[in-house]
Amino acid sequence: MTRASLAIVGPVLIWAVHFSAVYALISAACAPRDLMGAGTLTATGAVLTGLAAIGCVFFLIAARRDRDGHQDRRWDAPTLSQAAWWSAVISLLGVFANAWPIAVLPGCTG
Amino acid sequence: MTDITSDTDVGSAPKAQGTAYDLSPKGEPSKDFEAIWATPPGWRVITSVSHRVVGKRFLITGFIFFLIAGLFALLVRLQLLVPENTFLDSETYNQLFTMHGTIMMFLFAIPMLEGFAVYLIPLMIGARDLVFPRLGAFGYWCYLFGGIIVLSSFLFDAAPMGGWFMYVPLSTSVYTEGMSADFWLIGITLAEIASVTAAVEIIAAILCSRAPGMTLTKMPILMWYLLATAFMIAVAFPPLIIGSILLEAERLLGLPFFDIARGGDPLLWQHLFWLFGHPEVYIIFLPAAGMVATMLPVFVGKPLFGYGFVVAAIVTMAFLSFGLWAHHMFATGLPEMSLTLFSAASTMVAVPTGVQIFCFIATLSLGRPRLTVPMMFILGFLCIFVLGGLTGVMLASVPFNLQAHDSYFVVAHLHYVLIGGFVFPMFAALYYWIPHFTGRMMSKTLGKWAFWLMFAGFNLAFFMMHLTGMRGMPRRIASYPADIGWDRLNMLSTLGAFILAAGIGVFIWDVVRHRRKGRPAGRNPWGAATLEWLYAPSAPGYNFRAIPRVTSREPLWDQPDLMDRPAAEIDGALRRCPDHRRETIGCDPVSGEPIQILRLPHPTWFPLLSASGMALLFAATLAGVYWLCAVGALIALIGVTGWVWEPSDSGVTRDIGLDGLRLPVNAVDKRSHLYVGLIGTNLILWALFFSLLFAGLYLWNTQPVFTEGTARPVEVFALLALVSGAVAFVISWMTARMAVRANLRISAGLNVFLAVALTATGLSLGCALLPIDPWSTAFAAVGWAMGAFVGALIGVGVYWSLLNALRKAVGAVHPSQGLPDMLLGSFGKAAATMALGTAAVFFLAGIAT
Amino acid sequence: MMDEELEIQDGRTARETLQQADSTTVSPSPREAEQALETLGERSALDIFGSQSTLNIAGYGADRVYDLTLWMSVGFGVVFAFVMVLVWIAWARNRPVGKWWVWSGGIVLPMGAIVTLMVASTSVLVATTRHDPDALVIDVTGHQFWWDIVYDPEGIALRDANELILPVARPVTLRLRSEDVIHSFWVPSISGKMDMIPGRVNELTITATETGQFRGQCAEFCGLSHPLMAFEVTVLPEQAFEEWLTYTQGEARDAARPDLLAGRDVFLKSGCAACHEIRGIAEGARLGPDLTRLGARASLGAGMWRLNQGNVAGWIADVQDMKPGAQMPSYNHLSGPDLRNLSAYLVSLK
Repeated sequence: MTRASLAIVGPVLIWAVHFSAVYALISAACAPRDLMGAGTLTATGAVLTGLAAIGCVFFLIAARRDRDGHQDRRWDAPTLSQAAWWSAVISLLGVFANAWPIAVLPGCTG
Repeated sequence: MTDITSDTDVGSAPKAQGTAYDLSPKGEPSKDFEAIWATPPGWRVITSVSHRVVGKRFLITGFIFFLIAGLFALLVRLQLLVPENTFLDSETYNQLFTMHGTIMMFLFAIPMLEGFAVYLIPLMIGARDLVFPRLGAFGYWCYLFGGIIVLSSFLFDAAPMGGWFMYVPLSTSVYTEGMSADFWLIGITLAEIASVTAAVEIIAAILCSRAPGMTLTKMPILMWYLLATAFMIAVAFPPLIIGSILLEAERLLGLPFFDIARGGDPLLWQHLFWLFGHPEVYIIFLPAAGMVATMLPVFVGKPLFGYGFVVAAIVTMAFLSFGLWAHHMFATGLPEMSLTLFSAASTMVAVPTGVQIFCFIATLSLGRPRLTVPMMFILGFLCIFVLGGLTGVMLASVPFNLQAHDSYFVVAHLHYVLIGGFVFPMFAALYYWIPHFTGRMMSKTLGKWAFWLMFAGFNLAFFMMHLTGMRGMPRRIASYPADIGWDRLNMLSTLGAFILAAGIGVFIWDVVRHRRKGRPAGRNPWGAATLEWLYAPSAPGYNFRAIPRVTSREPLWDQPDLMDRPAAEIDGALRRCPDHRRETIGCDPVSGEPIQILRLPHPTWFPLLSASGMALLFAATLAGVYWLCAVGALIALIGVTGWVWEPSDSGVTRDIGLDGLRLPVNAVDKRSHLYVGLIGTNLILWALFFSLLFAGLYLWNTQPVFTEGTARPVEVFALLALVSGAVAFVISWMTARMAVRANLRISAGLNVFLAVALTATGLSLGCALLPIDPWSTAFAAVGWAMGAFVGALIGVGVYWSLLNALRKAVGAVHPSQGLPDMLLGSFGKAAATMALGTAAVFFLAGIAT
Repeated sequence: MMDEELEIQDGRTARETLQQADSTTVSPSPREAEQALETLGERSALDIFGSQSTLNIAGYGADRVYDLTLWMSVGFGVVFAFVMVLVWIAWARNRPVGKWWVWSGGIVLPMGAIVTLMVASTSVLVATTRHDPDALVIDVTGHQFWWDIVYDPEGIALRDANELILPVARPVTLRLRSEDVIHSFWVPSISGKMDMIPGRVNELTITATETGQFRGQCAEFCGLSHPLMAFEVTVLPEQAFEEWLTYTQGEARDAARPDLLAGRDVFLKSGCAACHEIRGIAEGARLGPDLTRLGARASLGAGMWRLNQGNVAGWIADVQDMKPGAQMPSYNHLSGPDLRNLSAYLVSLK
């Protein structure tokens, strides 16, 4: 049950890490210190987004399996896995939203 | 009367376990159960630490601040009634709108939600009090003193006038001479202590003191909301606290954090402020939505639709709301890439919000809703908040934002969100729970009047502002020209504001009236499902004579044994009170099964003493009387020492009178409330640390020229700090590991070693910083700030280690009472890790070419 | 009543201006250009209803954002009405709705709105922030509580203050700075705002699409007289703008009457020149607004009062009352005649 509770937080933690990473990448590329170019930014951002999306999908599948596996066993399990599943869906959408600027803009200034 | 009675006062407690400390030295054997829980009579009520008393203090004080800030708003609206008005001069006007925003955000909204949380949490989860009652009382006094400091600025003709977000450089001493900004920074920081202590309190209470059987998903939904809010407070307030301290240091000591001439950056303040400021909006909204989600099912007569959906929405919202702070900075010239990131992330919040709103709407379809006064306010909330949320999505669009930002459109939006999302639910909650506070019902007729006046007045006042903003009126202007199209809209807004105020007036009249003339509220007057209505209002101070087992999310609906007999006769845990102590049940954070008995403090002066010391420290800093600061710090230290000195109760086991369970008192366990509370505290410390780290990285990234010109730390000392920090970490780890079974001499020795290792780490870090002049550049100053922060942590760690050692030396702790060491070890690990992080940064800065 | 108020001096109404926003700008005849120059400064935006409105469109950025605003308002208005209808339906029925309500209302509806909005919003953002290398450059520097303006800083470097003269249909890049605290440059009719932050240069490219008189204002709270920090914007036909630039580059108009000469001497004797520049008379001072063409401006005190001799005299004698916190001290020690002559001189500078 502890695992099922943490599964609610898991996907959105992935979102948080992904958001911080994208923010850090953009800050690195678009500030006076100019730590990386637009190409590196796009490539790294794409890889991170892929990883984060896979992580969210993993939680999505795990939540669905959890719900099916625990049918009628404990009163809490369906609610928790339902929450975990919705959390994973929202986080996945959030990860895509984070990736939006990197996907549509060629560089720091449109 | 106090926590501490002499060790000889062993009373008549049974000698069951055979060890000396088996007896409860702090009980009040002359008193029975009722007397132990009684609120101290007369003026000594200020020593009360009961959540019922503290919660009401928060609510009443918060509501008074609401009225004060509302009065300021009316004066502001009067000034804007006609163009080129001379009713107020610019200075007064600027003071009034600044104080309106400041008080509403810091001294009304947050304390009000804390008040509801403090009052309701134990009642709803089946506890007799919060797990850290003294912390709650301490927080209240800090809030009260901080609020008084901020308000007292009017007496010195030095009211803050820089706007509630105090942008630099306007709020630096160059452009704001005198003390007005200092009143703001110092008063608000003191009041914020209440917020972070409440965060720790709420996390530990909800996770660790629920009634037997109350699993996470059997918690009332409000508990999820408050839990998420508490974690958000723990992470969101530290950036503001750091920002305020840096700004105050710049004003007081001339350190150049935001000074462009020395490599500071005005935008750093905006980042730190909005890193707090945006989540703050959700910190205010979430508990209000939680109260809606609590009341709505009651008036529909069916459980909340989609509990699991709502839980997911709460948790994701708590996270997503951190990813949009820079949408307050769209016009500052950020790169378009950042703008688009924050724009996209901002709109995403609409998803969890939508899920919640639609769960509320779906709940309405489950039964036949009753149109009570709280329900009217809930419908008002739905209407206003949905509109405010939609204009929020509009503002997330960057091009639109560049037109609407800092115009009356934003004023309209933020009032739709905050009044719709907080004030309307709060009035619903007040109408709903006031019978619980006073035992009498409010008038339905007057309630309807109050609602319609508030609803109509609000929409008249604020809907117009969308148009005023679109017509180009900037916010925060004391006067405006007559002929460019703003005059009639402003007149209507002012009219609406007064109608809104009339509605609040009707509410206040009803509060006064119902105390004498209100119909007595019977047991469970609304037909609610949650445990706070188990007793007839107003319930006794101990909440539950025996703590019942909970088997449902709607116990009063689904468990007939709870409502078919007088509440005092319900079966449950801890009916007996053998040690004459205040006690409640401690549970496993997930399953809610009882794992320990929590001993709770009796009325005490120490929280007030500590808070007075803090207030003296802050006020003396403000007044510039530095010797008095030392006196204040000393008083606070004495207060805290007295507070924590109490003999430990752990090691005792008692029969709880439920399911034949025999449980330890204050178990040495990672699931214990103290450990969970410490994790919450560490979270706050980490957030403080990362705020400073962010400040350093930000300056490093945006001000490369000044950064390169800054002197470097001494690598050798940084290396030394790395080594001693690692040693401190290992000792902390050993302290925590050996906490359970150590013998006193070894563990006292470890404590002393920890103090030594931490001191060595601190000294090495200090030496590493020596060649750097903190006044030279902002980057250097942030380095010193990190050193000072770690220094403060080390100070606490050293004090704590020596205190633990001392307590062992004088026999206040017995073998196997490992809780203090377990906590110290955990804190030590966190402090050592942060010291190591700082040392690593210094080392890298030292060797970088 | 309302219609009278909407009337502006040349007979066009704000509504008409609004409707014309989409029509392409016709290049004006030389006669029109001449007329525009002759009437320059005669009418203040303070007298024009909607001169500071985002709905009275006279610029490319404002135009694009207006479309976005309109569509968002309509779209979200429909969403709002839809949600309220759902509340009513849910209230009225007693059968539980399905989970699909939460699905469609909580995920599908917001995501649909978000994706549409993001596509529209990002394309408008990219379009309105595009930099034009051929744009005319104007430096605007915010001060508490006025605006220092330099046209073509790398070329003719023509300095003026508190009034922005723009050519129609030509991109202009504003380089925004601040000398003290954060200000924000905002001309709602022409484009969105941009902050002026000490230590930074923020660029904002704008294109005016309509000639006329407009008002801009500081949008970021900047201290005591923040409400009194506005400016006039005059959009001229391209040819008139060029003529204006040429004409204005010269030295200040000579004092041609005895009282004006006396006023000039007061200006020089009383220390005004320590802060204010009048080209050809006293050059080099940068602390206060350039006064070379004060009399030609449409308003006084950073877009706050009608420009006439009485107001100028009142301003000099009582600055701190008219604009609390301004850097300039009140010159209430000047004698009556001195004040009269000085204000007459300043108003004559066109």
